[in-house]
Amino acid sequence: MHILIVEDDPKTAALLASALRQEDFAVSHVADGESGLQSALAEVFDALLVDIMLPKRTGLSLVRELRQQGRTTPVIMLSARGEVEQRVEGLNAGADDYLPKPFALSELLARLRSLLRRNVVHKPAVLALADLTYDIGTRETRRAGKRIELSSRESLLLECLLRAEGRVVSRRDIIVSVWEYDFDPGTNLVDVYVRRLREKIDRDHSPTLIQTVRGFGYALRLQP
Amino acid sequence: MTLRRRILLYYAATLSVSLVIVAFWSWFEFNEQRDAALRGGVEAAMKHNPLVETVEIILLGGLPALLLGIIGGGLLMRRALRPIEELTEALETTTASNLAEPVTRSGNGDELDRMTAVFNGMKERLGASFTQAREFTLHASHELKTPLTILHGTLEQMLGDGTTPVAHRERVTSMLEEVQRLSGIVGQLAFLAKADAGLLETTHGAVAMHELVRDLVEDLTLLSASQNISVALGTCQPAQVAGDRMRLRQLLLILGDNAVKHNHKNGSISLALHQDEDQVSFRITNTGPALPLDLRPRVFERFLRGDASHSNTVEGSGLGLSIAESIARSHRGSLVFEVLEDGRTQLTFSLPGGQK
Repeated sequence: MHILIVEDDPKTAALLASALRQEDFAVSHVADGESGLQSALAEVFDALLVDIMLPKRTGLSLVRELRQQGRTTPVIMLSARGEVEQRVEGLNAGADDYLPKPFALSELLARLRSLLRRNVVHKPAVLALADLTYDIGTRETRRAGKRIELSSRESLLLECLLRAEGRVVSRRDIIVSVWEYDFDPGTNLVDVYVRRLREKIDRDHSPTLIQTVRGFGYALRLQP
Repeated sequence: MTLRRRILLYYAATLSVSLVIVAFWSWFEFNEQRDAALRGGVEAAMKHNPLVETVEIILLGGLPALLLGIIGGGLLMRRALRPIEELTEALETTTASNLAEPVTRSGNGDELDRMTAVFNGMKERLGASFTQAREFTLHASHELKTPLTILHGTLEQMLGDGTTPVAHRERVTSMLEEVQRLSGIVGQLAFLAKADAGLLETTHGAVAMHELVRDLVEDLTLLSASQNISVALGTCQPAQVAGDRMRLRQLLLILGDNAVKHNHKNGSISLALHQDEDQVSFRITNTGPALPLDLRPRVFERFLRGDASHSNTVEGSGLGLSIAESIARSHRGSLVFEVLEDGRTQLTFSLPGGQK
């Protein structure tokens, strides 16, 4: 997998590159919008990470031009400026996802992976892990064949964790997919809901599936 | 012309007219006396009593001159003071939001015109420093985001890196959590700076407040469970308002969260939503330590925390209620803080909204 990073801040670029290389991605980097566009048109990349504020050509203009040239390479926009309006602007220009700074590397990697996968595999109707099953359509949840009653937010939370397929999901991602908040709620809502979900699916069963990863978020997986 | 010179001129004109009136009556009386003397000699002239003549001059000449002086002086004063009144009105209506609009100048170069110019200059400088403070916060929060990203990422890599000694992991994790907290505060500051500058983009759609309130009750019930706080929803009338759904949810969550955090074990929270004729009001009341009297008027100030001894145990940045208030304002609504007689704290959010 080959990723192009278009970012003018050298430290951010270095950090992104090293994180991606660690995950076995091949990485190229350019520092301005114009050369970003040229590289993206000249070579084949699996995905682009594009900062919005760039010299010579903004990230928005880069993506717009890329799409106009008929390229469908997945693009994640990164920005330190406003959140909501920039997200809308970025997605309108043709980006596939938008990540406001400051973001966690784990979050970026998770989004990148889900973006790369999106085009390939079709989602199954039933998600499963060990003896836990979850039907996306009916939201029916079973553990060891026994039915578990979940509230609508609890099932959304479970679905969000199952979809990550064992990777850590950040609190911010959980908030976005369960509550659809575009702001930091400043409460421990996520932790409270996870605790409750844990009681329902993990308390009377083993192995325990929901794991807390301090400083990151939560993961649903078998203990390695 | 200066104001002083103008008043002097008006004054002189009024005095001159009065003088003319008095002079006319004096001339008339003297003339009458002379005529009498010419026609009937000294005898006839002596019939004119000097006292009566003087009274006549005072009544017929002095009184009109006096009235003219009073009326003229009154008009004069009113005219002279009108620009001062206008300036006072302009000063009274000056708020942080209209600093950019200068007060209209008379342009005649008098003292008041100069004062208006000075006032406009002051307004302009005040406006500039307001803008500067706003932009500073906005820029600062943007500039902080990139270093925070790098800091966060580097710490993440240290944790993911197998060579980081176990003894350091705990510290790195704790640093990571602090970076996240810092990021949260920076985000809130950026929000407030944008709201202050009127840059908050709000979409205005129809929002069913009663649904948002029910959602809030569900979240609050869970949030408050560990403190054994009871959450009760009283009246919840169906209420439609025009507003930004996301921002209204944010406001409700801030108020709800506030009611949980500033509560005590086994306390209670009660909520109600009322739809009156043209207003929707949401009320949330909670038990807990009441805010000290001197801090109450400052409750929506930034970074204000309850009493100092308590603040260490309460999480949060102290920006929540400021954000809630700016959301209320952006919806042309209001947020009112009260401490009830029984010591409970109550926040009321009202906003315009018609019947369904």
